[in-house]
This record gives sequence, structure tokens and C-alpha cells, in this order.
Amino acid sequence: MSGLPKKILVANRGEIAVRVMRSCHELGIQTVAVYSEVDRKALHVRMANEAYCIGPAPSSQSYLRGDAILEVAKESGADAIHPGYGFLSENAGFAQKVLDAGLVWIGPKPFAIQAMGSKTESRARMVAAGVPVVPGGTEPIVSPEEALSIANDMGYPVMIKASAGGGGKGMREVSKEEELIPAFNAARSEARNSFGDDSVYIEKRIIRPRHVEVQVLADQHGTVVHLFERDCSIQRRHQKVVEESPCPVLLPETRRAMTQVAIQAAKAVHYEGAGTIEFLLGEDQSFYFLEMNTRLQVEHPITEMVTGVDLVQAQIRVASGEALSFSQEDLQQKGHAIECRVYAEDAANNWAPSPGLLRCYTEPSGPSIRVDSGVYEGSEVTVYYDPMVSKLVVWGENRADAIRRLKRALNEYQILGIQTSIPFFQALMDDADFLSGVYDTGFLTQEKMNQLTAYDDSIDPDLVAALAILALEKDLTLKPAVSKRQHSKWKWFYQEKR
Amino acid sequence: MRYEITLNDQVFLVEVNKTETGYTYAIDGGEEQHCSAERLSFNRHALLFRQRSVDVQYSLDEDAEIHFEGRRYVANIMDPRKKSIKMASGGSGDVVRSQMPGRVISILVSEGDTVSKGQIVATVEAMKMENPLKAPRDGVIASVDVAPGDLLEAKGVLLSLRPVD
Repeated sequence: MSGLPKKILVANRGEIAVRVMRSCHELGIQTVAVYSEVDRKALHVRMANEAYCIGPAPSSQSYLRGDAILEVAKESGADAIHPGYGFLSENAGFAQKVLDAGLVWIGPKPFAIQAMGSKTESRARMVAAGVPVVPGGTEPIVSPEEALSIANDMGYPVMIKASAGGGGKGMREVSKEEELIPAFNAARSEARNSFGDDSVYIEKRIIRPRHVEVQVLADQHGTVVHLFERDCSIQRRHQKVVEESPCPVLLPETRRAMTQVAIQAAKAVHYEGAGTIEFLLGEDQSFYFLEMNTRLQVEHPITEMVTGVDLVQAQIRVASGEALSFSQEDLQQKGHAIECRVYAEDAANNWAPSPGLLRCYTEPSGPSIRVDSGVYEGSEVTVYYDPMVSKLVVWGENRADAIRRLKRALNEYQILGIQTSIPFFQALMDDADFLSGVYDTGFLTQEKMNQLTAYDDSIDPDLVAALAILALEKDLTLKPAVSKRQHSKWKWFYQEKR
Repeated sequence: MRYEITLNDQVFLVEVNKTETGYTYAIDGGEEQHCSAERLSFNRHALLFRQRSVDVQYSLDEDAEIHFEGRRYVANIMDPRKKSIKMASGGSGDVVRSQMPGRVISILVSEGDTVSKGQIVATVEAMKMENPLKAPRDGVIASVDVAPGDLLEAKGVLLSLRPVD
């Protein structure tokens, strides 16, 4: 195929579908939306040039139906499919069907999706490619002597984990050699009692790990570049909440090593397109491969802010066979970018979901602010899909500058009708530990959450006055005398016209 | 005109009147002050309290909600004259609702029970989480409108309250 696609079907919804369509329209490419029955009025449907309903609300009956999506591609004459993130984006079988139908798949080859999709296969491949992985393995260890020699080789602290494990049962942390054998025996008996299976394995324990990932971009001609790192250590229930680039604690030599390893990892699976290699970063700057995401990430905009590269446009270009238009030397990490994922959730109430109608919705704007969202005033956040409402991304010359800008932008959001995580972010931007930049994936402890959600209860007297004024104004406009006269005037006008 | 405004469990009594240049108001019998208010759209106002400029976005249906200086507040606004009528006839807005669509797991009170504000009166499963529902004020359960196992729509009513006799 030569040249860019003429028409791209975006097999997704919400902010990412909107974001992908924006790049398509900039490239002069027509867009096709697919939507479920509850999404008829969704922003991605409104933004697309064409839209097709593919089934009822549950994703299993709509956004996950590859067959229905391929039919729409055929009917609409789309020549490429962009999967966004989630849904079918890492489904190798679907990617293969797209290729079999003679369409362009805007993503890596099914082989790479498959190879990186399985924990054990990707780990084995990475080891073979010389990529550091968390030392240890899932092979059961039977004798205390074997356990001791493995643990001594990898260095302390280590974790002993039950193969059949879960819920912390059969799990022991060991920080010294002399504690190993007793802990090994205890873990085995606990595993036997809890799961009826006493096999355990040993893994190196990374102290205060940070989640740092590297964005890579590869064309079909063997060129792979990296677009630096993102730190995604602020997480709740293993879900990212805030991301920033650069990572505030990464030393330049670690960055050099980590980005080189990421390129090595991508080359090992002949990667094409945009992808992300996730690492655990230890306190001592050691880093270990975690997994590779073979798609665009939610947090990709912070990379776009610091590098100036439009990742979606790049994805479309390389999927069409174009060579990358820039080299590694052309890429720079300029300034600092931070993203906050605004969810329809009540952070103060254990992140309880808060779906509903957006009675008011105003986004922040101004210098170096980017808001990616799939909602608008009057739209509904339903219970069927991810409750992310909007992504706020800011850029600043440095981290402190970006945080100041973020605070300003958070204050400009006006969202009514649902609870959002905005008050939590406002508190986070004043938190001394966050401001220091020294935090790890365990940052959001219950204690920290309690601190951050102890919102100020004091009431501004002008707020009280505002409510009384608005209530009076509403009551005055609802007075029958006024509306009656207006009504009869219209009636009179209407009759005259007839 | 007088309004009783409840915000974060604090109650304020505001006397407010329209004037040629905006509004005058006094909170809890305090000093009378002036505010200029310009409507921007159906749910936006630009306010000037003396020289302090504040843009608000709001919605006054059902629960009143307002976005004021970077924060969202949920308030209850009552006309004290109407309040006495409402209270006498069993009250309006005095119901326990589920904000989310879900399924009733349990009802912890029955008709005629006296409940106090904040008391958990029912639990609802929504989005795979159990959510306790609390009484919005002191009162007596006037009716129980659902049973465990019933499906609820968003904002569905479970119970209604009447004043304590």
C-alpha cells in the first residue's frame, strides 16, 4: 500500500477515540466511529465523519465485537483500523483478522502482540535479549538448601511467594541470610494449609520501587527510537492516577541505560509502531523489565508535551510503511509534563464510582494546558465503561513550574452533576511528599489518602450569599406574572402571523 | 426574601433582596452587603461582591450544586415559609435515593422507625461495590418503597421520611 489511509475506523470510544480522530483530521483522513446503543450522543460519534452502531451497551456486545467492527470497516470503505487502548488493542487474533481483510492495522504485528502478551513468554524473550528482569523465577523450589543458594545469589531482600498464591498467603519477606530457611519452611506450610500445594518460588524484592516506562516508536524499516520515560508511580489499586515526564529521580546515566534497554526489547520482537516498555526502578537506580504494552498508552500526551511528537500521527505514518521522519538525535526531552486522570469517582469515599449527568462542564485552558476528554456539558457518564472523564495535561519549564500550572488549571475545571477526583488532585499538588518528587508505587497508603481527602470544611460567606442570590433570581423568573405576559405576547404574535 | 441554606452541615439564614443595581443580602442577621450579579447563560453567573469577582456555575434542581472558586459544593436551599408547609405534609426532598443504578441488598429499617441523620438505612450494590445509604436528616420512616433484590435506576427512591411527631 502506498500513501496514508483515506479513511480510518477508530475501534474505541471516549477520549482516546476523540484524540485519534483529531490526528486523522489533521492529516486529511476521514474517520469512522463505532458506537454502542448508549453512546449515540457520545463525543466520538459527534466528531467522526461517519458512525455505525455495533450493539448494546455492554462492551462484550459492542466494542469487543471484532466481527461487527470488521463488517463496519467493509461497509464504510475504511482502509485502516486504529484500536486506541483497551478493548481490542492487544488482541493478536483481531489484529490478524484486520490484516487478513486487507486492511492496515495501526499497531504492531500480531506476532509482537502475542509475544509480549504472555508474562512467561515475554520474560523468557527479554532474558534472551539481555534485558534485566526481576531476578528469580516462578519455578518451584523444593529444598531449603536450593532456596538458600538462590537467595544468596540474587542478594537480599527477597520475597518467597506461593505458586498457587494470593492474598498474601504463603508470602514471606526475607532481609537476611539467617532468616531464609525458617521463612522458607513457614511459607511452605502456610501454602500447604491455604492452597493444598506447598510449592513456593523466590523473587528479588525491589525496595520502594517506582514505575518508570519508556516510550518507543519503530518503523517497518528497522529503525527504533525512544521518546524518553514517564514516571507512573502514583497509583491506586495498581491503576495509574498521575504521570509525569521526566521521572524526577532518574539519573542521566540510568536514563541512558534504560532507554537503550527499551530499544533492545523492542528490537527483540521486531516491534513496529508505538509501544511502551514498563520497568520497576529501585531506590539504587537498578531497573527491571515488567512488561511491554503493545499499544498507545493513556498517558502518552505527557510524552507528546516534552518531545513535540504527535504519537498518533507517527503511528499512522509508520503503519502505512513510511520511514520515521526523525532520528534519535532529533529527539529532546524539553521541560516537564504532568497528567492527572480525572475520574468520575469520589476519592474521599474509597474511590466509589459516581456516574451521572454532567450538569455543568467547563475545562481549563490557557498556556501549555491540554485537556483530552470524551465528554461535554449535558453528556452522561454511564456505568458501562471506564469512569475516566478527562485527562488534564500540563507542561512547564521545570517540575515546580508544571505543578503551579496544574494547580491553576485544576481550579478552572467546573464540573457539576458527578463527583470527580479533582479535589484529591488539588490536595496532592500541595502534598510535601509529592512535591519532593521522592515517592514510590506505595505512595497512596490509606493514611496518605485520609490526609489528602480531609478537605477543608470552612464556608466562604460569599458562597452563601451567591446561593441565596441565585435562588432568589430563580424564584423571581418563575413568577407567574412575568411568564404569563411573555406567553400571551407570543400567542398574539403567532395568531397575527396566521 | 429569606432562604435557609445548608452547606457542609452548617445552616445559614440569608435575607436577600433585589435592588436596581443587583442584590443586597445579610447572613444570619449580619451587616447588609451588596452584590452585582450578571447572568451569562442558563447555568452561569458573573458575581461581584464589592470588588471581588467570582464566576459561578450552578444547578438548582433537586440538590443545589455550585462551583465556587475552584470547588464544587452541594447545598440545600429552603424557603423557610415553604419549609413549614412541606414539613407538615411529609416533606419533599426527604427521601433516600441511590445515586447509581444497582440492586437493593438490604433495608435496615421499617415503616414507623425513628431514624437519626447519618444513620445507615439501606445498602445497595452498584458497580460491584456495596454502598451504604444514610438518612439525610432526623425523621420517621414514612414508607419503604423497595425490597431486597429489587433493581434500582439512578436516583431511584428507596425510602421516604416524615418529620418526627
